[in-house]
Amino acid sequence: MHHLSPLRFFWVILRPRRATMAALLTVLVYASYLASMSADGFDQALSLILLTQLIVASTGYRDRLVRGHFDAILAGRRRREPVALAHAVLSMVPGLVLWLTFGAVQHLVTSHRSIAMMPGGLVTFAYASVVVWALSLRLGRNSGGVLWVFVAFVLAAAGKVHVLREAYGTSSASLMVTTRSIAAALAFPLVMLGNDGYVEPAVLLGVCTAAAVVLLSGIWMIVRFDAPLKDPA
Amino acid sequence: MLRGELEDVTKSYGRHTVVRDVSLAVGPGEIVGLIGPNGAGKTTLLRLFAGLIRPTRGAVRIPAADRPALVRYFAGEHSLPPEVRTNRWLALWSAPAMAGADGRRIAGTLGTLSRGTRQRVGLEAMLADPDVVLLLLDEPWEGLDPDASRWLSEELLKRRAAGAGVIVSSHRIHDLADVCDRCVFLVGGRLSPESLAAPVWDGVGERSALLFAAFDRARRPR
Repeated sequence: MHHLSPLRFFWVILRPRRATMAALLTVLVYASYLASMSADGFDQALSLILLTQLIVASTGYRDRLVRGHFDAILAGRRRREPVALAHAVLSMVPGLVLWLTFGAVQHLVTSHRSIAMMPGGLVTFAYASVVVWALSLRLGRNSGGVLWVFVAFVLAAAGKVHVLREAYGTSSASLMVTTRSIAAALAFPLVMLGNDGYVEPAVLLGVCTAAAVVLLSGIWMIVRFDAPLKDPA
Repeated sequence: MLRGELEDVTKSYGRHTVVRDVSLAVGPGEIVGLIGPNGAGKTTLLRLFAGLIRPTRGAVRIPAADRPALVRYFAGEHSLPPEVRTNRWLALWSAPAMAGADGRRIAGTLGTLSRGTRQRVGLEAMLADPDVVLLLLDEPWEGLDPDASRWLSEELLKRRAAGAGVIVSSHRIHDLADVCDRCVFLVGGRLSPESLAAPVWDGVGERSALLFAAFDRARRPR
């Protein structure tokens, strides 16, 4: 009997094509170059890699589900949670490898622990990845990343980024202030890359909880999807 | 032990009811043909059997569902992911590499293959495991050349001999008549009482004629 694991199935279905791999490698090289130029360049490099992940992790699900691409792994399966989890993991892995490689390269070159590897960097990456993955499940491939970038532009254009940075930067003196910090981090997670990647434990817990809730929501969506096969014509 | 069973199943999308009060079972070593006009709900019925969609009402029982490796469903070549390389797709299902008409190994992505070759690749993948107990095929003969059609019919008979339950939906009455133990007609989302079983058949030609006649009766307004 041939048992196929969802991880192996999605590894074949979602693995980046050669062009995508080449693009990821180019991003890594360019980001490393930016980081080597100045401290500002380092921030830009992290933002560039995060932007790449926003697009790469938005793999989409429903479009391909109604085309029948996932029939083979879903047929006869009572529980879809392992399938959903495998889809999430393999959607995020290429960007994660890029992020960690960049962090490792920075660590080797500068002898300092990179922000990419600090709690702020890791939580920013995880939260952003999970949100764009979940958004794209119903909206379609790349949609989560595009939507995220659009919101970031709107916030920047409205002059709200500075407000969010200030709200986040306040030390957690009270529950209200901590809540505001968490809200700022959730609305614009790049703020967590400040302070050399240090994040207040309460904020860290809040953002991690939010990421877990989004991940579970995405899994629930995949489990609940029930749509007719799209007419191939 | 039944390989799969639908009991009084109804499936609706919003106000549109696709399948209505259908009860159908497939036993071990049985091939059931599913015949119906376009839009009758055949694909929906097969997808209900495969557990890919949930019934709005009624119950779906797939005894093998705790072991998904034992159930295979193939909706047709259009359901294959076009960007996946053919050899990777076949290897995923432990199916042997395929050779084209020129004897060379089929390469490239699934999207670059001809329709018939893609259909054959999809079927090879789904039929690779000899231990499958429930096989659900939607229009499997579509796009296949005569050799591949014969191969498929022989494979289905092998599965039946191995004890699998098979449900095949097709418009190709002759092919169905060749392999099916019985045929059921789905018209307007309902199963017609005009089902035919093998004992009344005698020879493929007569089977086909009987099936066509029964299908005509099934479609007649009541």
